[in-house]
Amino acid sequence: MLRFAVRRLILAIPILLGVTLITFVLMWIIPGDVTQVLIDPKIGTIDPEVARAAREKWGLEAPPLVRYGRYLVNILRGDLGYSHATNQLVRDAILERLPATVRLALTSVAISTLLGIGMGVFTALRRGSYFDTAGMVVTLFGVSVPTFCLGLLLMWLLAVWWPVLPATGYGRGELSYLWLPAVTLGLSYAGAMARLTRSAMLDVIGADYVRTARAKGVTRRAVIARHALPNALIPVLTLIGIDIGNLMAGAVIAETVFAWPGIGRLLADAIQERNLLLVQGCVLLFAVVFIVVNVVVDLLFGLLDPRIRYE
Amino acid sequence: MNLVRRSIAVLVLLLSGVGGPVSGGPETPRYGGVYIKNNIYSEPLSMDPMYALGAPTIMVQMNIFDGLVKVDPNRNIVVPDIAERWTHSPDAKTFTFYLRKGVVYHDGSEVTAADFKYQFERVANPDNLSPHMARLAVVVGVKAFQEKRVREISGIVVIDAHTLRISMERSNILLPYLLTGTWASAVPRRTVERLGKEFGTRPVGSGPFEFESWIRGRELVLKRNQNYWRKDTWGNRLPYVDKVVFRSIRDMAAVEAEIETGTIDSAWIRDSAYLKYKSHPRYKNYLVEGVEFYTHHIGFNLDTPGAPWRDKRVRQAINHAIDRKTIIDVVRHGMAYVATGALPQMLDNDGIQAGYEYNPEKAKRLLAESGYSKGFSLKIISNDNSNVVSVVEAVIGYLNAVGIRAQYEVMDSTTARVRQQEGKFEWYYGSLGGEGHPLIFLQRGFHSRYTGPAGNWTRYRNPAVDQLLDRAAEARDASSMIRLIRAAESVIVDDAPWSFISYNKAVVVYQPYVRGLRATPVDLDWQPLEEVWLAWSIKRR
Repeated sequence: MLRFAVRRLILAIPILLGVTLITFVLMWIIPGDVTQVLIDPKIGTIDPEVARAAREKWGLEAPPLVRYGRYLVNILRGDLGYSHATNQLVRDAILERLPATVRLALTSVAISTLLGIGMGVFTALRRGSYFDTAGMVVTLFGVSVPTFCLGLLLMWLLAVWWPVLPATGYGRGELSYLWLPAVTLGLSYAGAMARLTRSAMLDVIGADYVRTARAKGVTRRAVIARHALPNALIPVLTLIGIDIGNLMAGAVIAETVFAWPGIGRLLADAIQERNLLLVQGCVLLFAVVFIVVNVVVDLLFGLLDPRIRYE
Repeated sequence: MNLVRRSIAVLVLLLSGVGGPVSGGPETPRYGGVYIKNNIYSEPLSMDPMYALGAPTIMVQMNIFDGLVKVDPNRNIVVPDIAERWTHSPDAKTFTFYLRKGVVYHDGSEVTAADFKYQFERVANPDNLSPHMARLAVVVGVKAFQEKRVREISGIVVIDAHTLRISMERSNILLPYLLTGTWASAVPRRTVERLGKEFGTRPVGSGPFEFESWIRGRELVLKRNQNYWRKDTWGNRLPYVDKVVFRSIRDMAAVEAEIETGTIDSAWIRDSAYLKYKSHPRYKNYLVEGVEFYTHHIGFNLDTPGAPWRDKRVRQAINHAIDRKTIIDVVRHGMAYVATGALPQMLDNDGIQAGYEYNPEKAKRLLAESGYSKGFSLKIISNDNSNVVSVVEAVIGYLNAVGIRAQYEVMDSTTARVRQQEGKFEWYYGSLGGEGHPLIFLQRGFHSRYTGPAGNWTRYRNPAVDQLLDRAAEARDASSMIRLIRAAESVIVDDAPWSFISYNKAVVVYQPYVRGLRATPVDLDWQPLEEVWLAWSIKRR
């Protein structure tokens, strides 16, 4: 298992290189360069002397390949660069936002997993009943209502009309600030998870080994818990991995609605400011998160299904 | 506990009724309380005044730092700040500023003339890459300093601890106005040098509020400067509130939720919220409205080869074809003023131009005279701001009515800005402003020297306008300058390189207990918070 994990992580190196190259090319193609950080967006003008000095100081006159090469060399030295817009190191800008992002992502995934799997199993076991129909309508709601819409709805419900939670912000890290964004994202992701769990469960509970277990006198609850659910969870686990990756990459809309100080807003601002180094830093982090989460998910497959071998 | 406190806070707010204070007479300011202000645009960038860029940053910095002079928000004129007075030579090439004695920084050291010279040299130094490094170009010795031929700017001389002399290459009575920018604030040299780049996150100034804390993405907190030198008209030492908290909520619906739960005290609002709050039973009397120095317009690319709009009559026709008032009333819900020229009412200028009346028949006649009776086709670009998109769509309808067929391309704001700067457009819809002085505004927008990224995006070139603006820049007195500015604007309005659409109306909604907010020039978010006080407040932190 360890050899498998190490091999996967080594294979990640060309992926990360590709990610930096694609980001660099995309940022190079779109109109405007990092001198845009010296422009007040509301005014929109820049003195040519300032733009010239900035290009000279930041080495923007060098050919793109040279700039990309310099960037790679700096990464190898552990230097992600400097964010001119926020006057801080890219590493510091990211680390400053990372805890809020991790907190929101993990809580949202926990909520969506509990709700999604719970509802998926519940409705699968009552296939064709009113519960099943009602459950599918609710999950359809979760899948189809946009995050900002659900977020605002919950905000007005729980912060304005019945003020039990703060509407926005992070406070000093109190749990009360976490609930609204986490529940919003959790509900959004739970819909898809419930539907996937339901269909996976329906496949599994009709399988021969489940029927055999029941015929041997194993209780229904034990069959579901020990035989059906672990097998049904394999596709669900993949979805959880993707959700964690997506949420770690920043839930820009939820972060904007709830003024949550996460990486999503940082990246959105950086793209707007053409802050290449900060964009590169964020995208690199997301790529690493996706790779690590995928490796972990692959390893967990083996725990759920012993037939899966790491070779 | 926090929830309980929050619920009590909301209850107290509701029970306190919709009106103001109980007594009917004039109110006297009250000390104390925490004032929470929302900043809708984005996070502040740096607290170092050298990097004073954009409303989110400036609105904070201006409360931490003081300059030699400032703009009086009530009268819209330049008034003393740390410099209690100033004089200039008859040729307006040399200004002498006399500083107040006993003004101290938050660290206890005294503000001296040398600190201003130090700050001006920091700003002008190309190594620091201040967005304002070109502001002092007119000062003697700046060029040599920027080229590193000398170690200091010879035109900025410290006469003594409280006297500063600035000499310029040519007459410039605008110098005091230029120095009202936050970038020209006093900074304590020793502290700046000790902290280095950290000065941007641990600023020390001499302004009404001291920096307390800043967690990016969450909040920035300032606390009252107990030793601030300014007093109010009753002789009370300013500022009044104990703390100011700047938050950054960008979603308008979330801002409304925070206002209505009483967890923020004031917020700049957009069109949709304006429609709601101007008839809101609780907040309709608690809105500050003011004209900001931005002019929304359609810019015509005058470098487009063979384009119909290179003919002045076509541009005039377009100006006559658009019903600005209806667009503002219906599309913007009244949250703008009809533009009659390039300049809104601003510092030393009443902003009066006859403008172009809505007259589609005249528009058609002018198009026919210029050989375009059947109209023509073009593409217009703009950013994706929903207000902008709605206005452009309305404008396209009016253009269609006179035979002009416009295609519309919407893009993110940075791409739209870059396309404007690089001249990659036929027409754009945008706004120019942020400069409180009419001369600087007109120079940026219409002087051929500023063609391209510096502001003249339409590539408008008229030697007569250049000459009028150059003469205005070197005028020895304000009245001559204004006369020349008006003459230049008249030519510009007649030439119509823009279709003048609207002037910004900015609106701030605030809680009924907040006092002292006002319509400030340039940008409504640039509030001098030392005069803000809370008639009754809820202890929130």
